[in-house]
Amino acid sequence: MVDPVIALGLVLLLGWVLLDAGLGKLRDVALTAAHIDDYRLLPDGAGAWLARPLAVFEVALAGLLLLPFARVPALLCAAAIIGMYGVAITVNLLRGRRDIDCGCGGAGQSQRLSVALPLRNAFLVAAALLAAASPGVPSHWSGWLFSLFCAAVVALLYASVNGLLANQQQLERLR
Amino acid sequence: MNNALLVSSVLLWIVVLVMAVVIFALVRQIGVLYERVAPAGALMVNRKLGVGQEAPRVMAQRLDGGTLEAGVPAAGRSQLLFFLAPDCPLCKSLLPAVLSAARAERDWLDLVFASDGDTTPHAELVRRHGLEGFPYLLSEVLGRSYGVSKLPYGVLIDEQGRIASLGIVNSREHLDSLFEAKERKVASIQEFVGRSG
Repeated sequence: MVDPVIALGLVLLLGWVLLDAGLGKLRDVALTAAHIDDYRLLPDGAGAWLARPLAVFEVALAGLLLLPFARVPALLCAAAIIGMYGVAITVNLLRGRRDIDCGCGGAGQSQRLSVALPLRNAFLVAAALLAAASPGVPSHWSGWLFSLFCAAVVALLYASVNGLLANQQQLERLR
Repeated sequence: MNNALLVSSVLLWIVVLVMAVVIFALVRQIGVLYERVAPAGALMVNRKLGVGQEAPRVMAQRLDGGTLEAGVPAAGRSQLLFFLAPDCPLCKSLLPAVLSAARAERDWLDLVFASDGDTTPHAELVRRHGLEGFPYLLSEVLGRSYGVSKLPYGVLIDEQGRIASLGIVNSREHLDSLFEAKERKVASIQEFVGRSG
């Protein structure tokens, strides 16, 4: 559907996002469990047994994305899990519970729920589906290089947008 | 010609990448500034109480039965009222630091947890985080008397029953700053910075 250069770039981007999210959760499993419970979508205490497997699954998905034979299923799983987070955030936004921590930044970065988060997740889901619909790898070495550049730049911009969202909330707190 | 295009394209990508790194670094720096500048110490946002005032005495129900009068430290000791809630992730993540601080300062300090609401989630919180050794009060009046609007919140009451320091506690550093403020007899780290600067 899209050029293999762009598809590979998207795969690398999603791999980075999942790796970052998974490692962030593993860094403070107890806090992740508290975040999961905070969403109040699962039975009480579910966070305690779900936090670690969820984090390991995200890291594993990031690894699987890099294996050619596992790429498409891994992309679909990534779309499902990121979409699921988006739905969880939307449900809590609709409930009016904006003050809970989204738990997106892992430990150390707190970010309350906002409309920007489901939009961000929608972008990632679209990226995963687009990449899944476009198998194949670049035929020339320069294609690989451009994919890498592309992924690195978008990943940095993605992290910057996340940082700006968190900063904006810090700024509101000061007002 | 083709080669020149490739080279220029790679160079442009490198420039874009460097700019993205710079943008990210700037965003991070702004984030760090927000974290450091504003609540340098436990943040004072209390319009009700001030340092040096008599701590309100509130008779409150204990979670394990019985009552305890908050604001009245035992003879020659200080009392740290730590306000928390079971649905506040930050409070939970801070509990190990609070417990270790209470252990480290146990020769002069008594730690008292304070919250309000239904007992079940509190009992679960106490069990899961091993807070059994400390009084855990449930009283809405207590939070209101101390003007607690945001959690986690700490109030340090000195040996004379006066408020030594108070504020929102978001990290171990903020907690230590409560003790520091008591020792230096300043209301908050902000005041200390203002005084010395």
